[in-house]
Amino acid sequence: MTREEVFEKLNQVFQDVFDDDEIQVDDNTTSGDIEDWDSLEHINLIVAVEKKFGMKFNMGEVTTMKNVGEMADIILQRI
Amino acid sequence: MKKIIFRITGFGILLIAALALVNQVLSFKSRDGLYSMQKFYEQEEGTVDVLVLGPSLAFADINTAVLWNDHGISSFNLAGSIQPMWNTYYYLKEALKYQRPKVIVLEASLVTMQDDYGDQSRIIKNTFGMRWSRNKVEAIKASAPKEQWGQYLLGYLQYHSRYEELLSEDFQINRGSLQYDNWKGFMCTTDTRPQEANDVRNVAKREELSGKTEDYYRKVIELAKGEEIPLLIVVAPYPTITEWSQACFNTASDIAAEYQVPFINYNLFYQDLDLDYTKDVSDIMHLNYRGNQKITRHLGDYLVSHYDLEDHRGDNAYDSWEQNSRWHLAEIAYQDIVNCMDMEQMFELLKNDDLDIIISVDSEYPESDGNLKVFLSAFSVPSDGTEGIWHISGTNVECIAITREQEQVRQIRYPYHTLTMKAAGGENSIFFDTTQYKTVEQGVNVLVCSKTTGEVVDSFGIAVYGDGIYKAERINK
Amino acid sequence: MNIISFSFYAAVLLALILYYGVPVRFRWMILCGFSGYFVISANGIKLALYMLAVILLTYAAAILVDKYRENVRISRAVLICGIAADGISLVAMKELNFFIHGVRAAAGIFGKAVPLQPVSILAPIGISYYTLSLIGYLVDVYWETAKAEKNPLKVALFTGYFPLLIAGPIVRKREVFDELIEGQKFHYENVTFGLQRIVWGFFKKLVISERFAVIVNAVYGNYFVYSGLYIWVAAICFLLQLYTDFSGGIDICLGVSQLFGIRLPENFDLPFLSRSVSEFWRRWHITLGGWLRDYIYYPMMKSNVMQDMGAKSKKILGKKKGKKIPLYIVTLVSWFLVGFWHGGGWNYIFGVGLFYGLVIIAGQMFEPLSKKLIKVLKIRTECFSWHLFQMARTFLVLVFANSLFRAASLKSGFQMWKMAFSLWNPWIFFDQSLYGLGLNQTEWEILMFGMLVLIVCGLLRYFLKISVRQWLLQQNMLFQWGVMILLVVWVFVYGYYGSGYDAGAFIYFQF
Repeated sequence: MTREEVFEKLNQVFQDVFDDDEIQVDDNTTSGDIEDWDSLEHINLIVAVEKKFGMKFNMGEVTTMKNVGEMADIILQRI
Repeated sequence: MKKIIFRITGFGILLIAALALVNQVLSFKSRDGLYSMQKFYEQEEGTVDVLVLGPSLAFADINTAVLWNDHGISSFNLAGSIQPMWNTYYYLKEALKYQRPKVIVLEASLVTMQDDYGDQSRIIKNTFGMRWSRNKVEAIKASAPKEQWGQYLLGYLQYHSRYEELLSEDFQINRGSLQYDNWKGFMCTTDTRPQEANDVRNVAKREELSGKTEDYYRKVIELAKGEEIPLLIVVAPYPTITEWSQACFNTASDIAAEYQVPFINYNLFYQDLDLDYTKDVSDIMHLNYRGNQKITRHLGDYLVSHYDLEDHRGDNAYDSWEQNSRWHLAEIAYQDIVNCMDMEQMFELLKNDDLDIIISVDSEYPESDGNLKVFLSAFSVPSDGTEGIWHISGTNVECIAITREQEQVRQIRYPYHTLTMKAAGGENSIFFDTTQYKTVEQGVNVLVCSKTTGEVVDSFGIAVYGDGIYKAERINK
Repeated sequence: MNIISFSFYAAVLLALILYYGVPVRFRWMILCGFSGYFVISANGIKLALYMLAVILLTYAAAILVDKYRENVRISRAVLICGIAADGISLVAMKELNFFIHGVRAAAGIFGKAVPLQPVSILAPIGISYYTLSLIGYLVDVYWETAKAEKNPLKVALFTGYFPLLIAGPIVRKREVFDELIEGQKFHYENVTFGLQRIVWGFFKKLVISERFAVIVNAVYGNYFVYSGLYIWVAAICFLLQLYTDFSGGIDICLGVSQLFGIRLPENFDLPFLSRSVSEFWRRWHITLGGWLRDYIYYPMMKSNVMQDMGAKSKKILGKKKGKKIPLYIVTLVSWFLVGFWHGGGWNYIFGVGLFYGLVIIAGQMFEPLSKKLIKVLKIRTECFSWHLFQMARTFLVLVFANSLFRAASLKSGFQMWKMAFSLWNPWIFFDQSLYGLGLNQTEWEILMFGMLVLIVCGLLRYFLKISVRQWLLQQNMLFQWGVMILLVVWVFVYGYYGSGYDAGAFIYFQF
C-alpha cells in the first residue's frame, strides 16, 4: 500500500469516528486540530484504525505517537 | 566568573541589610529588662560606679536621679521585671564584660521564686536584650526547659509576627522619648494607690529557698567576690510582704552573712524612713515617686559612708547622669502640678521657666465670670473677652493668635514631639503630636509642657461658670 | 525531613558543594547517595530498606521482561507480578486500614467478628510517587518505550530522587533519566532560577496556604456552629489552601532540583482556569493525570474485554450510545483508583475520585442536550463570558469535591454540606464575623493580597502569555534584586511560622 492510500483510508476512519464527513488528515495533524479528538476518543480512534488496517499498535506507540504522520509510519511498517 | 561572584555578594549584602532592618523594627522593645540591657551597653566604659541588679523593685524603687543629685553617684539599674536569680547572674556576668562598678547592689526579693522557669514574656524580657554571646546562650538555657531553647535562641520566630503591633517606638531611636536619651534604667511610677501594710518585723523563722534560686543567688555573690567588687544586698520595702516571704529573706540574709556581705532588709525598718504605704506606693509591690526618693536617700547615704565613691558632679564625662537626673527630678516635681486642683497653688507652680504653658481662650465669657478673669490675669493674658491663644513661659507672654482676626498655625518643637497651636475658622485647637487637648468646650483650655522632659505635664480647663480647675479625659485623640 | 527547616537546606547546600565538586560523570552518584541519606533520615533504616527492596524488585522485573521479551507468557507474567508487588507494597503501607475496615464490615454482615485492628503505620516518604514511577518504568520497558537499566542504583536514582519524594511529580524515565545520569554543569542561571522558585514556593506555602488553613480548621472543626455560608467559605478556602500548599511544595522541590541543574516536569498549570473537569486534570497534578491516562485508561480502553463490551453495547444501544459504555466503565474504574491512591477512605475515593468520574460521565451524557440548549438559547460559545461560565461551574465542582477530601470521613463531609444549606447567613460578610475565625482583618488582608499576586501572575500568563519571571529578567538588575529582596523579606515577615504555628504539616506530604 502506498502512503497516499493509507491516508485515504485514514480519512475514512477519522470521518467515521468523529462523525464528520469533512475531516481530512495529513502528516502534521494532531489531536489539537480535531475538535473531538481528546483522550476519551483517542482509544476509539486507535481501535478503529487497527480494525481498518488489520494491524495492532502496541501500547507504547499509543501513548507516544505525536501526530498522524507517525501513525501512518507505523501502519506502513506493519501491513 | 568574577562577575558572578560580584553579583552574588552584592545581592547577598543588600538582602542581609533588608532583613536586618526588618529584624530591628520587629524585635521586642519592652522597656524593662530588654531595654535596660540595651541601654547599659551604651554606657561609656568605666563610668558606671554603682550597678543595681534585680527585679522590678530594683528599677522602680532605686532612683538614679536622687543618687546623682544628692551625692554625684553614677548608678545604673540593670534590672528586669520578675527577674529570676539566674537571669540576674547572667546579667551581672555580661555587665562585668563592659563595666567595672565600684559597688554592686542586688535587690534580692526574688529569692522567693519557687519555680524553675519564668513565664514566656519574662524569659524574653530578661534575655533578648543581651548581645549574642556565650552569656546569652547560657542565660536562655537556664531560663527555659530544653525543648524550648530553639524558640528563644531563634528569637526572630517569636517576634516576626509583631507587624500588627508596631508602634512609633519601634521605628525611632531612643523609643521616641527624651527620657531615654540618657536613661539609666530607672522607671519612676507616678500613681498612688494606698495599701494595707503587713508587719513582718517579728518574723524570725527561716524558709528554705528553692534549689535553683539559692544556687544562683550564691553564684551572684561568688561572682562579685571573685571579681573583688563589694556587694550590697537589699530587699526593697513593699506593703504586701508575707511572713513566708520574710522568712525567705531571713534565709537570704543568713547566706549573705556566710560570705560577709552586708544585707539590708528595708521591710524591717521602713517606718524609720517615713514611708507611708497610703501615699508612697503605686501598687502592691512598688514605691512611687514619693516612696522611691525616701528609700534612695537612705541607700545613697549608706553607700557614700561605707564605700569609696566619687562625686562626679561637674565632670563632663558624666553629663548623661546630670541630664538623667534633671529629667526625673522634673518628672517628680511636676507631679505636684498633676495633683493640683487649687487655682492659687497652680499659679505658683506654673511660674517656671522650664514650662511651656499654652492658654487657649476658646469661647466668649461674661464680664461677671470672676474665676476666669482671675486666672487669665494671673498670667497677664487679656481678660476682656478676647478669644485667642497665648504661650507663656516663665515671665514671657506671647500672643500666638487672636481667634477671630486671623488664621494662624504655630508649632513648638520638642526633641521627639511637636506641639501645634492652631486658630482657624473661628476655632482654636491645640495638638501635641496628633492628640488634641481640649478639656472644656466653653471657657479656657490650658496645656502645660516641660522643656526638660519634652512631654506634656498636665492639661486642664477653666469652664465658663465653672468653679476652678477642671481636669478630665481628653475629648479627641 | 521537613522542607521548611534549616537542616534540610544545610544538607542541600552540602550536597550542592559535593555535586559540583566532583567530575561530571560522578555527579549522579552524589545525587543517589544524598537521596538515600534523605530517605534514611526521614524514615529510618527499616523503611528505607523497604523502599530499596521495592526498587530492586522492579529493577529485576524490568531486566527479566527485557530478557524474555520473545516469550510473551513469561514476560507478561513477570510484568504482572512486578506490578502486583509494587501495588501491594503501596497499598499495604497506605490503604491497609481501608481493607481492614472492609474485611471487618463484611465479616460483620455475616455476624462474625474478625480479630483485625486498624493499624497506624508511618508510610515511607514519597511512596505514592515513586511506586507509580516504578510501575510506569516496568510497563514502559514491556512496551519498549524505555530501555531496561542495568544498574540498579540508577533506577533507584530516577525514581527515588529526593525532591520527588516530597510531593512528586510522578516521573517517567524518559523525562529525567538522562539529565540525572549525565550530570549537569554549573550554570549561574540554574542557581538563581532555582532559588527564585524556592522563595516563590515558600511564599505560597507560608504566607498564603497557612492562613487559609486557619479558616478551614476553624470551620471544619465546628461546622455545626459555623454553618451556612461559613462552610462555603471554608470549602473555597480549603481548595485554595490545597492548591497553594501543594503547588508551593512543588515549586520548592522543582527549585531545589534546578539548583542541581535537573529540570523536573511541571505539575500545575493555572488549574482554576479550566473549563471542564477533564481539562482540570490536565492542569492539576498533571503527572498523575498523565500517568493514569497512559497506564490505566488507555490500556483498559484498548483491552479486548472493553472492546468486546463496546461491540455488544453498540448492538444493543446503537452506535452513539453503545460506544460510551466501555468508556463509562473505564472512567469509573480509573477515578476510583485516583481516589484510592489519595487515601483509603471513602471521602478520598469519592471526593477526589469517583465524584469527578461521575461529573465527567454526566457531562458526556448531557452533551447532546446541552448542545441543543446552546443552539436554542443562542448562547455564544466562542467568547469570554461563556468561558467564564465554564470556569465558574468547574470551580464549583472542584470546591465541592475537595471539601470532601478534607472531611474526616465521607459521612461527616455530607453532614457538613447539609449544614451548609441549613442556614442562609450572608451577613457574615458584612458584620466582621469572618474576623472571628482566627484571622483578624490584617491577616485577611495579607492573605487576600497574596492571592491577588498569584491571580495577577496567572491571568497575565493565561491571557497575555506574559511570564512575570521572564519579564523580570528583562528589567534592570537593581529592579530585579529589589523585587527578589522584597519577596524574601515578605516571606520572612508575613510567613505564618514560628512559635505557635506549625508550618511543617504538609497536606500532600503524607503521600
